[in-house]
Formats: sequence, C-alpha cells, structure tokens
Amino acid sequence: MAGQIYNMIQKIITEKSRGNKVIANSVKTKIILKGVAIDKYTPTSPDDMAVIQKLRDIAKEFGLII
Amino acid sequence: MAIRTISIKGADSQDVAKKAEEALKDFDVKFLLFFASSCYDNSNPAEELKKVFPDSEIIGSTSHSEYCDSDYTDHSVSIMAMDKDSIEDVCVRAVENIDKEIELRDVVEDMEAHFGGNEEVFSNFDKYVGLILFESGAKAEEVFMDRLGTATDILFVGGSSSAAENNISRVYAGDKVYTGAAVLAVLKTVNGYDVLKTQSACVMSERKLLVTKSDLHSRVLYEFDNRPCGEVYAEVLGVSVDKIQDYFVSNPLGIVADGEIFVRTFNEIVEDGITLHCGIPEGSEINVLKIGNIVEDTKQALDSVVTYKPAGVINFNCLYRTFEMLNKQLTKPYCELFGRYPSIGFSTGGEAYLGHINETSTVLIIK
Repeated sequence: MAGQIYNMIQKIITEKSRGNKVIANSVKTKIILKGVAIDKYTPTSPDDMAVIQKLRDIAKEFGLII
Repeated sequence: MAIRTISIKGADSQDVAKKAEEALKDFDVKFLLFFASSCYDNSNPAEELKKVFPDSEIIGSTSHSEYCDSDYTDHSVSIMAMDKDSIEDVCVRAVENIDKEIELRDVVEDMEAHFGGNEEVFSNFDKYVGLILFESGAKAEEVFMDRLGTATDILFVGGSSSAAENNISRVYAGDKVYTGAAVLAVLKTVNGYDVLKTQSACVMSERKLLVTKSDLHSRVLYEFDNRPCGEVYAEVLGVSVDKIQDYFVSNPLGIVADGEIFVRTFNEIVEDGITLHCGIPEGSEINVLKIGNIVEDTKQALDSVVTYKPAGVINFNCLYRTFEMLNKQLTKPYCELFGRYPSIGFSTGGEAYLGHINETSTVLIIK
C-alpha cells in the first residue's frame, strides 16, 4: 500500500486548520519542525511504519483522531 | 496615539521607572513591554515599573543591547507602551521550570478562556497574537515552542533573554522576576497584526541532509544520512573535515518549511557530534546555508510586509546579528529601517516564531 503518509498529513492539516489558510500554513511548519519532512511525501510514496507512527503521535498531540 | 516608544538611561531601575512615568504621563498604559540592560538588575526593573504603572500589564527581559526607533544603545531600557487604541485586552502568564517536561494545555486554555475561549480566538485569529520571552539559561526553547504550538493556534513571536557584561539573564512578568521560565502575553489587538521573520542566511546547497541521529534535548547532532554529520557537512562545503569549524559561522544549517528558513547555528564539536544552539529532531531535512546581507534582507522583508503605517513594531534580533553589524559598522543603516516606525527591540539569545530559531530577526507589527 502507498500514499498513507501523504493522506495522514493532509488530514492533520485540514482538520487542525478548519479551512483557515494561515493556520494551515502554520500547522505545516509545526509538523516539519517536529521532524517530518512533509514536502517529500506524495500520494504514491511508499508507506513507512516509523513515519506513520510519528504522524499518529502528532495527530494525538493536536487532539485529532485520524 | 496608540503606541509610544521610549529609550531611557537611568542611575538604577527606580530612576528608569521615574523617567518612564514622566515620559508617559499623558498616556493611559494598558500594556508595557520593556527590554532592560542586565546592568539594571541590582534592583528589579519590573517591580519599579509596576509601582508607577500599577494598572498596566507588564512583561520584560534583560538584554545585552537595546533598539529603540532609529537608535541602537546599550546599558539602557527600551520601553513600548500600548493603550486601548492598539490593544483591547491582554493576558499575561509565566511558566516556570521550563527545563522540565512541561504540559502547556492548561496554561493555554486559561489564557484563551480569558478572552472567551478557543472558538473566540480561532474565529478572530487575525486579532490575537502572542508575545513570548524566554529566560535563555534554561535552554529549553525548542521543546517549549513545540508544546506551545501543539496546544494553541495563536502565533507567538518573541525571543530569549540576553545579558550585558554581568551575564545576568532574567525575564519579568508583572512585578516579578524569573529565571528558567517563559513569560507569555496574548494580545487582542484592535486593528490586527503582521509577523515577519528574516534571517541573514539563504540556502547554499539544494542537497537535503536527513537527520538520522540527534539528541533534541541536549542539542547534539550526530548523523546525516546515517553518516557522521561533520563528514557530510564537509562534503557539502567541499572542504576537509578538520576545517569545518572555520565554516560554522558563515554556513549554518536550516530547515526549510513552506519557503521559510528556520536557522540552526553551530556551537562546538563534541565527541561523535556537534552541539547546536537549537536542537533538531530526527527525521528533519536540513540544508546548508550561507550568510547574506542583513541590512538588505531586512529592508526587503520589512518593505514587503509593512505597506501601511503601523502603530508599533517589536524586533527580536539575534545577538549574533548585532555582533556582525557592529563588526561591519551596519547598525546605523539597520536602525534607520526601524526608525521609520515606533519600534523597540533587543539583541536576543534565540528567537521564537512557530519554533525556536537562531541567527534570525522575528518581528511583530501591530497595525
């Protein structure tokens, strides 16, 4: 399976920002500063369990269920 | 008049407070921000200012050197006073022991509740902005900013305390003085705000280096791409490993996020690694940077954002940048840029905006 990381990133940004573009940009930056280089992931990127777990933890910190 | 700025040199904190009271006698101060040379710390400047402005919220920091309008000074106190025409409301909190594992959700909820809760803040995001002052001795800014950014959508801008020759580092809230702490102020602005970040560095090499081994808390970097970081850094620069220390100042590291560079500067080589002035988590991608032109870059950044007459501008400018400007005699043209607005600033021991940053200027513009 591929694209799971990309989809998780998009979901965190969308749910956290609730359509506010400025907040969406700041959420992106916050994820990058937490150590996930989000720009390199595309809908066809292979799934990496370590990164998926890191994103689950980040989502949980943000109070999101993804 | 919504914002006033003053620069004071006094015999001591009491004298500074007296002069501030005189300068602001016809001004109803709602919030007062000050950057005081650490030479005033033989008595608490916040306590003295609170005596003369008892109804005002006050925060401040010690400083190595201060900026006020078009002036660069030392052994002085720079003050920005805001009245109800620029801020509707303000909430100040101090968080102590920031070098311990911290949970900021309660503090943030408490601050947001002061304004009516999270929904009010979210819906009026363009009105609410945070100021943050770290006491730099704790060396815990990156973890604190991560937790803060996770707990709230409010943008916090600020910097870490610095010190004059006596090496005393403090932050202040109300009439109290703190070490190992962060002071936060959330402002509800009347006309909104802008934030900008400008750094004296740009990307030197497009090659991305993956951080595969690091210790975020102790700020040690060990490996890029599963190889010793010094070896990879030398390879990017095209120099031998034993020469890399010569490039630490001119070629810092940066995380590029959404086109913005978050600079991480080197400290020193240690066994198996290199210490930085800001920790980097594993999984981050790094670029090697090169130093640019501080004055030109700052002008460009200010002119692209401040296209209106601002009420006031607060500049958190890295102490390294101040040193570089002093070396190159650039403080005058730099200060002239900020002299266009009512502004204050100080030479910081680290800057804050979304995360902890080095060798940068973070600027809050109150409209």
